[in-house]
Amino acid sequence: MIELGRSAAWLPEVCVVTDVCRENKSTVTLELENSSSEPHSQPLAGQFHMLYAFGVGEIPVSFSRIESDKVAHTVREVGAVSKAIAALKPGASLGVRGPFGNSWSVSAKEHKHIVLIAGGLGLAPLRPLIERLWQESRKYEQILLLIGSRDPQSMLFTDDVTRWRTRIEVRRSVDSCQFRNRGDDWNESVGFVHTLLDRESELSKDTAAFICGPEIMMRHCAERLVELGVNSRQISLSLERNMKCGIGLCGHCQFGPDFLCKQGPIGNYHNLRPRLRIREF
Amino acid sequence: MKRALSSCVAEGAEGLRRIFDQVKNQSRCVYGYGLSHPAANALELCELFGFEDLPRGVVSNYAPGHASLEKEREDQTCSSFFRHTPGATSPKSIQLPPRRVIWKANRTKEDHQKFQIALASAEQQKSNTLQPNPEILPVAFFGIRSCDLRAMHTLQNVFDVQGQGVPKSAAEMPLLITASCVEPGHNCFCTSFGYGPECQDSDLNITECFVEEEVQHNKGSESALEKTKCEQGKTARKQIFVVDAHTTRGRPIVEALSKDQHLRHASQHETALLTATLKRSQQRLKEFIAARVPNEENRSKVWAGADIAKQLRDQARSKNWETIAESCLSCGNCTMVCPTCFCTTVEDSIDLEAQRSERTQVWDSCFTAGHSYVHGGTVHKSTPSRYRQWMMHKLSSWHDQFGESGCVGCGRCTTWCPVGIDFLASAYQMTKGVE
Repeated sequence: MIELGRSAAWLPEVCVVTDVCRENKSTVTLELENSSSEPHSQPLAGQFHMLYAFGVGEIPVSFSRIESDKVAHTVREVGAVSKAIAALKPGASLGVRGPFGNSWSVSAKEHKHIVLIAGGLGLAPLRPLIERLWQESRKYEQILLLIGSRDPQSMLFTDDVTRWRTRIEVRRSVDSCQFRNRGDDWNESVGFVHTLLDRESELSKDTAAFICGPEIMMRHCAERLVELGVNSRQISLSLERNMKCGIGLCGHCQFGPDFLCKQGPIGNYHNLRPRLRIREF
Repeated sequence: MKRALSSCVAEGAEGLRRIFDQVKNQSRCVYGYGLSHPAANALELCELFGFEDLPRGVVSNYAPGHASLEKEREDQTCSSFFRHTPGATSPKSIQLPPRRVIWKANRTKEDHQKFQIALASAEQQKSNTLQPNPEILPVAFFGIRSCDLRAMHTLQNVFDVQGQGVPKSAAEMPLLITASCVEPGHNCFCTSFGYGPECQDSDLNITECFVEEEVQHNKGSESALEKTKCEQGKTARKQIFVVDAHTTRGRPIVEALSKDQHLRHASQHETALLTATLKRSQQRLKEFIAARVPNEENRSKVWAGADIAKQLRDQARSKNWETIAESCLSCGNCTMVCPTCFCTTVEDSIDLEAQRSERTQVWDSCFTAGHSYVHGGTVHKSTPSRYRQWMMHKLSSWHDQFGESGCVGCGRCTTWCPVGIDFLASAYQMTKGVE
């Protein structure tokens, strides 16, 4: 009966950073070798790794790319750990645990219409899903990707967006655009990302929606989708809470009955809605 | 109440010493409640190196926001061993140490960008005391209470449900020697969870009883019986320990002691005394609970049930949290003394040359701002939201997560709350859903 919990689950595997790519002023994508040789331990879109920077600490970071031989994580420099991780150079060691959590679930059999909504760095966890949908776009009647960002400079994955546009409808919006009147090349929308839905009058009942971004943004988007006729059970959100262990033992990621590292980070709006309406929950 | 027919009796302190020694002989180390040092005015769960480490003659006096110990009157030579209630620390501190190093990382000498990580030694992980080597004896707990045992199971269930428990053979399990709470504390409410004050699922349970007897001067005063009597005018107080073995590990202890005449079968009179002692304890618990849960209907319901989980969930948006947490200091004491609170955080330390780093797992509390911190801020900013997280986790979401209550009714959170917030009274106030 006396138990500490298996220590091995706390032990990171040391991986090598194979490539580093700066996305914008504060965001960096790191590429790692995909060390999981077993097919069942292959990471899934929406899951995350715990990344450890030597001597600084560990943070949960979702996969922004999943390929057979490599994976990528996109990190924004906001705290001590993310800054240390973003400062790594190719060849450096990075502690990795995982993959943890559940994944985005989509099936062409059930859903013909797909809406993806990303706010800021929320585009990163959606990217592996977008790539898959882009490859399988023929199976779907319509795929709509809405991307919101603070300003044009912080728009992520712009090269990918250009490629995605060949098969997917992508609408982008920025919260504010200082240079708009000065001939800056931003010629897309200005306003919060959920306003991009205003062009729709109704969405098909078989729509599946995937949203990732700040909680308040996800709430507004999900509400708007429900108004447009989307089933709240078909709206998936990726939530964020403090995480220290990834194995349901540290207690930080609790969201009511859920440990978001295990039952999350992705949940459907139907289940999450009552809790999302509670302040400071 | 179902009772094993074979209750045995050990007489006086000498009788208890025999039981203790027998347990000590067949275990690697014994944990139980004791005074951390002679001048300490607090009971702790610590290692008991010998019989003398048991807190003899110590009576606990607990009230909301108050914990003190009193010495029994000096003239009572047969002072009690188990009239205190559990101390601030619980078996949790053994199951999940407050602080332990998990692993160490070292930079590679040749390439400064690289490092290796290795698990810390068993000793640094404090798992040497916990994950017994099958070659050596198990650890034992002596004199812990039914709430402690319930809490140990609850905590173990957390590890198991999360898939992190390591299966153990029966021989590796700790030996559990419990004591009945003959003098329950004011903050206790184990019976509202449907168990206590005695323990029926340990290996061996001991109930301390006192018999008032007339002093018979003409009998041989050298007898062992006589030694345990203490004079109080014309009557003497005799101390007996009623022992009930519940398992195949407890029974051999009783058999060994019986063989050496240190234990004998309980007489009818002694069995009646045991029943009366436990009944009195139950009655007192009932009174203590009634003082906090005035409504008879609510009092009789079992708080471990899932209905309270739903009631609290329905109250998640209630304004009453603000009323209840009005005086809360958000200090986290309740979570530290709680025998089932399992939140931990990690600390990474690094040496001055930035060559070696180690990761330490330490207890954390949902009352800190850091607990719910995500980039950009804390989710639980206000104190009521933290109090809600704590109470709802214990009494509501624990049912969803682990299929049982996270509260065992030990009352520690109330005793060691610096402002004396009564957990049971607050839970009652929340569930009845009115101001």
